[in-house]
Amino acid sequence: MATAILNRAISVYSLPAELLSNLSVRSIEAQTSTAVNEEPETKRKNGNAVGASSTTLGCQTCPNASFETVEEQRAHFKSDWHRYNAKAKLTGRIVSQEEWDNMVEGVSSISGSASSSSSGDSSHSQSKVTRLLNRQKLNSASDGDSDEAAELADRQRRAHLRTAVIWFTPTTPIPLLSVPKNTQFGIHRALFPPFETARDYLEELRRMQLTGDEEEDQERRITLLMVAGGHFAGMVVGIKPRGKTERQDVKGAGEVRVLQHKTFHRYTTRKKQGGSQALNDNAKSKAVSAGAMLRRYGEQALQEEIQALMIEWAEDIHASERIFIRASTHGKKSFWGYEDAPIEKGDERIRTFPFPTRRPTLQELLRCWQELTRVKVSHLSEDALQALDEAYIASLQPKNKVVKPTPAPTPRPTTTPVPRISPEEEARQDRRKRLEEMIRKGKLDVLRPFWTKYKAEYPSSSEILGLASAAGQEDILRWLLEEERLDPTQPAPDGKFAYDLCSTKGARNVFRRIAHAHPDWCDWTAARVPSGLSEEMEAEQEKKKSERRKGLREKLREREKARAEEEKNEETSQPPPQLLVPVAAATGLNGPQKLGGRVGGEGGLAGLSPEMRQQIERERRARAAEARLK
Amino acid sequence: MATRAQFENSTDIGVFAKLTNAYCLTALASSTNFYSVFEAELADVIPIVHTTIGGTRIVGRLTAGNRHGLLVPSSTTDQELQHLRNALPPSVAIQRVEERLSALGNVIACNDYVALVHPDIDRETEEIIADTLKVEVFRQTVASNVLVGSYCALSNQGGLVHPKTSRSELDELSSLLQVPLVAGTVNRGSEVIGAGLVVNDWCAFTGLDTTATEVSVIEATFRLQGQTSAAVINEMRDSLIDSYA
Repeated sequence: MATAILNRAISVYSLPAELLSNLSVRSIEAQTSTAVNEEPETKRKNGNAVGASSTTLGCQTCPNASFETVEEQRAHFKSDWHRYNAKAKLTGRIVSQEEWDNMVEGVSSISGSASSSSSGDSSHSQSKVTRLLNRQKLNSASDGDSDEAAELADRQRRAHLRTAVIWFTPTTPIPLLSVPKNTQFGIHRALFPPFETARDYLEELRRMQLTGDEEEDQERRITLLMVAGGHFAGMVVGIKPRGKTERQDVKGAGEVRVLQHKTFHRYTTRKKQGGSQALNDNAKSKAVSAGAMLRRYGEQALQEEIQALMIEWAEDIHASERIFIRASTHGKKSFWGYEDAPIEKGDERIRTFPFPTRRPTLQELLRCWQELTRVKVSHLSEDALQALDEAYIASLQPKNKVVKPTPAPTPRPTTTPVPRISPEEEARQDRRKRLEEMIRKGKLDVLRPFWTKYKAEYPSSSEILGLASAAGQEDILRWLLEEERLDPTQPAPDGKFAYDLCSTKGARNVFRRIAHAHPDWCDWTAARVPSGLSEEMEAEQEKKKSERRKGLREKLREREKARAEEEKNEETSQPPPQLLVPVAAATGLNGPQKLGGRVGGEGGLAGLSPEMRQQIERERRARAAEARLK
Repeated sequence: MATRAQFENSTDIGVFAKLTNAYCLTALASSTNFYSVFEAELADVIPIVHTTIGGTRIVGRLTAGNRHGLLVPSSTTDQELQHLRNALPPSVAIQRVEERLSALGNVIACNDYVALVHPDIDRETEEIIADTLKVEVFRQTVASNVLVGSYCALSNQGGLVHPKTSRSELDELSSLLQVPLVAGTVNRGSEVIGAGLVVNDWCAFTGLDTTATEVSVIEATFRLQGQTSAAVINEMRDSLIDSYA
């Protein structure tokens, strides 16, 4: 039958055999890859049990690692990848070589990992492992996985679990059915048991097909049940399509062989407010209106009717492969949890509809049936699919978004924007970072051998001194100055002296004490150390300070006492405040009302009317004339 | 030759003693019985040191060492360190280690050339191990146990590991250590090999409960049988002469 199958709807249960034999699962690549990874390992284990171990040198921890020589193997055991896995094995999250490479990409300074077999840079590569592990540990302590790689894997897994539709693609074009290569067939996941691996889905799909055996196919059925808003619709459908001659009493069902169907309606929902009466009763107190009574009765009647119907349909329900149910938590009581209920709560066959459904009617049930059992067909190129997948995975929210503790913004001595630096350089940077850490944390015991070993690498002593003084590590500072005799007179590259950088008084005192004990070691004034500090001076200072403190305390006490007394006096001598107000008002009227009062000669004229002003002016002139005439 | 011993009614002698090719440490006990067992075997060959570590008697679990050196945890007091320095030959380097995993004997298993260590151990500690003990350090687990020191006993001749170690893991470990390994038990079926057995290149001490079969496995593994004088001269020369050189 060389017909184009894509022109008409295909049922999930009657896929052409040519297509079935050529299908592969598309949407669960993550799972298939792990399945492939496990295989060779088990094979190797078996091989070892037989005794062929001498020929295959491998690693128990790392997946797919095999070596030609013992030297290679030993080198592998010193590699970052293996060290990481040795640690990760305990938590059960081993990474393959590619995954490891991806993870390392995220950490700065990578190039060394390829040459990590040489003992020289083993220490720095180790730090990378710890860094990765620490990151992993931090994350796992909080939620399990949000490390980039683990996060991605997790998202993939969740994406795989979440997609409602499983996509199958033909491995080769099938000209017989005129199926091109870039075709995807989608089947609802709800029709399958919850599998983990891709192969299971394919096998199950093959098993699901109608056999062509009349007796057996007749028996296969699926139950669809919906209850919402007082409406109930239920239907049992035979998987085998209806023959031309078979009787059909459902209008518009077409080829669908409906074995049982029933719909009810009862008045249960509260008009205008919405929601069921039971919910409202539970939330508030029991309403006593006539409507509430009716609805309560309606709910109960609906439930009883459905329960009776379920018992009636028990045989069909038992024979069903899948039971699709749409119901609220309350509505589910109609289906299980009563005597003779044909469905149990945890039944493996129960599914919810994996798409939105409308009001429960027979027509809606038929639509859902079509939707569930028709194969979806799409034609997308590989690239387009990839892009779609990535967009989808990226759109998933991380499980519990944890705020990653951002590393403290320590000023790095050398910037590392260049992606490739030589291993030696990298090792040096790493050592430097460790040195800084030791100083900052005050680990003198570790610092001592480290410093003697790598002293030559640090020509500028000022930086080291500055670091120690900024960290306020007195022990280290003392050791650096007294035993290592670092020069405090050299300024750091930014022009600051070690003494200026001191964060605590204790650190400053270390400088001053040494300056007092050994004034001849260097020019202490050039090192900005103000003066030496002898033990007597220190004792004196301490004494002064304690005295001052004592004096202060006494003064404070006196002041307190004085204030208390004053308050007491005021309370007794204060006149009632009402008397004061009118006095103040009276004085205010007499005194100058304006700020600054009278300033100029004609200050008084400012607020007067023009006639008055003229009059006063005239009088003033007259008086002046009189004075002249005299 | 494997000798059975017990420490004050405890058969876990590996907890209370540390044996290497260059020295032996034993815990201070109320009687010298335990010490005498070691003395009888080793008196003229290597120094046997009575000591505590950090005031405790579990010297075997707290320290790690070989003929090149001895690592002690940070809990070791200055007096103990001084005592060890005085008692051990000058060729043995003694180093105090600041490590979170302070039971060094449990987290480090070593012979004179290779050390297996706990995967979590500090980077600094790893360097100290490599420098002081002059060994190649591998972070490994033994039968999924991170406490490698507890679950194996190593010498330059061979090694006994946790009984549940798989064949493939045995192969892997022995290719790392370059000595033959055997999975076995001590003290009548105990899987904590490190606690029940101390061993060096020419003698071994096991707990008093160790069965004859277990002893024969130990002797075969560590090549302790038939130690004629010729064998002593040929096989032991390296470790003896080097330690007194």
